[in-house]
Amino acid sequence: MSNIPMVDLQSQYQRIKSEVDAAFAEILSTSYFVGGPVVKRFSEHLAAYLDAKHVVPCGNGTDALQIALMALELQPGDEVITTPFTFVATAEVIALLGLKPVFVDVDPCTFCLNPYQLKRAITERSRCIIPVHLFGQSCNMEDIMAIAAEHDLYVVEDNAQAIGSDYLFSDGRRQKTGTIGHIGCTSFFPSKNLGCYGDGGALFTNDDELGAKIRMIANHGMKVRYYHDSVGVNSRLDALQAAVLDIKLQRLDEYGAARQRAAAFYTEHLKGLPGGRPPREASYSTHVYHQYTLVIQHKRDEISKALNEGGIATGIYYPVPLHLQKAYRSYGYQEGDFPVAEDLARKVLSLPMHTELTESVQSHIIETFTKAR
Amino acid sequence: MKRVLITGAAGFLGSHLCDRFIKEGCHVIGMDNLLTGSMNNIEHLFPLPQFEFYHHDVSKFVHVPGDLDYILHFASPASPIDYLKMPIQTMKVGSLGTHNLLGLAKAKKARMLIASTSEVYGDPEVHPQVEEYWGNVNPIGPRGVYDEAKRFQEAMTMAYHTFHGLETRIVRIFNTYGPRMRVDDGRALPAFFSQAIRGEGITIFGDGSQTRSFCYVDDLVDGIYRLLLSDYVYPVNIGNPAEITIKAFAEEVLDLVGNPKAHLVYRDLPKDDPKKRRPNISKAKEILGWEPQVSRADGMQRTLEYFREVVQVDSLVEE
Repeated sequence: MSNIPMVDLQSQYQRIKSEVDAAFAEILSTSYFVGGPVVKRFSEHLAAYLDAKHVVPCGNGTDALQIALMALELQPGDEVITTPFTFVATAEVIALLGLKPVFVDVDPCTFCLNPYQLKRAITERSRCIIPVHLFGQSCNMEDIMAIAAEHDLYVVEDNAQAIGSDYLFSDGRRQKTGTIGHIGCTSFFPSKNLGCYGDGGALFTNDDELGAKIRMIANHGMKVRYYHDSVGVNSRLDALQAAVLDIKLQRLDEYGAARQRAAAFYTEHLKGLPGGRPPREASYSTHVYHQYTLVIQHKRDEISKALNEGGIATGIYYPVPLHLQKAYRSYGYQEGDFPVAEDLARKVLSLPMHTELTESVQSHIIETFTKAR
Repeated sequence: MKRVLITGAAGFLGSHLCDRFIKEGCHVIGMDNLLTGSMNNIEHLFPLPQFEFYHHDVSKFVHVPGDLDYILHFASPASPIDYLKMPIQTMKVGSLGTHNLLGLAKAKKARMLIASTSEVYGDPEVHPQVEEYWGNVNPIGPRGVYDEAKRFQEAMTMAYHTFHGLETRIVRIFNTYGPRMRVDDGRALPAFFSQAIRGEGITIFGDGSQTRSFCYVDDLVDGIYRLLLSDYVYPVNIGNPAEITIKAFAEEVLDLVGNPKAHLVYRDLPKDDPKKRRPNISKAKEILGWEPQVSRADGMQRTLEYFREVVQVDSLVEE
């Protein structure tokens, strides 16, 4: 069997090739490259899909987070609580804005921010919580929103890995992740569940005032051209990306279902194995499996190497929790502060997960994995 | 389905208790702040829907949604090197932690079992120790933080029983060993095993004539389970009365591991090292129908298998 990648964007493109090529040709003929009708149309479609009042596209997921924190007018020294077990972007924007990242340990089953630990991290300077919906399922938003309300904190959802998943409230209501907090952020990086063919991102909110502010900040802090009301950034989505996203958005639920099918197949065949734990789906969220991540008790790195040698790509998301990263040393954290995140960093292993996986490819992966154990 | 809260769930004893209660068909809520506990001990439980993990410090207010039938309080640093390093946390988990859980037990109308210890007897003047012996503890000695926290814990638990009519159980645990002991917890048994596996000197303090009695963890857990289900509210010793000198024990480990490079080395005896400790288990026999079932040879074999898995053998790296 030939090499098996973590994601297979090429095969996915082949299935939508005619639509994408036609859309690109159309944009090239109109020369409307940044902003414009295609971006507007996509934003409207995404707002309808998410049932969010405002969708503001921007340059990438990291910008989305930064713009969100700027829109909340947080002041230097204000504390923003987030997870140490995620991609660096979340902490990066906090630090860049002169805010203080305060980390909180994660739940060992969902890998997401643990509401129990969250309460302990709140101080007089706490202003905002950024829950990261890691690997495709939501954090426990009901508990997080209750804690935020009690302490008058903003909630910015980092939805980069979970777009399309539903939060299931205890009263039976469903709501798209990213639309529950004050602001939701996402990334359209190519490997994401809703990915474009370059960089892209977006913010969502149901708050009119925040919506207007976000729109302004993303475009140099201006509402009227060349009149700048606040310090903004240059962060926009281009039309080519919006065209791809619009085509893929129509298939997002179908893509999610394909990922769920692939995940179910993995779990079905891996669940009995001692020493390796398949992901557990939270009762309060659907799971769109941005990643399929196992927890391997022993010899994670050897197993990963054996899979790689057999031509199977693997991912370790993430090998070093943020509080132990060199760049974040100055915040004074040390080894042992977040034992669950540190333990997961030593044990997680992600297998290939995308919309084009076939059972025969998966069977080969499972077989290789089983032998490597 | 009975719902059980086990604190110290990621610890040596706590994790074995989780296993037992899961096996008995209970829904288990494991709580641990992971200060001395290890995720490795409960990793195998995370896939189970009847297991929930709460990463929480019981010294702080404890909230558990839903009903609870039993609460077992096993959270505490328990080996001398740990509680000397964390004296205040040790006192808080035994005192404030116990108080929080007693309050929770009262609110939930749950039965509460606390993990007490042979350390409540301190440096005993009675041998073997019976439950009626009040102990000989120096409150400001190096072990005082652990011993007095546990003595306070017993007193508090008894007060909730007599004053509030709470259903309570008190187990006084003697030396226990088995899989999931921490290699570096500073106690003789894991030290002996890891030194023997690595082919190093097995350190004996003094001449090795001091005695210990070691209970295999499955036996201990069975005793605790029986005590919980009994109606006996006074303290019960659970331990193995078979006494062995440290030197004889070290030799047994040497034989069992069979690493030719390992050998005995002698060091000075530390001041607070108890000369003798052995439980009198007549109460457990009479009231619970319990006595140890696992022979030392069996228990040591099972423990060795575990230590072989977790001890890093440096000699492999040299090659």
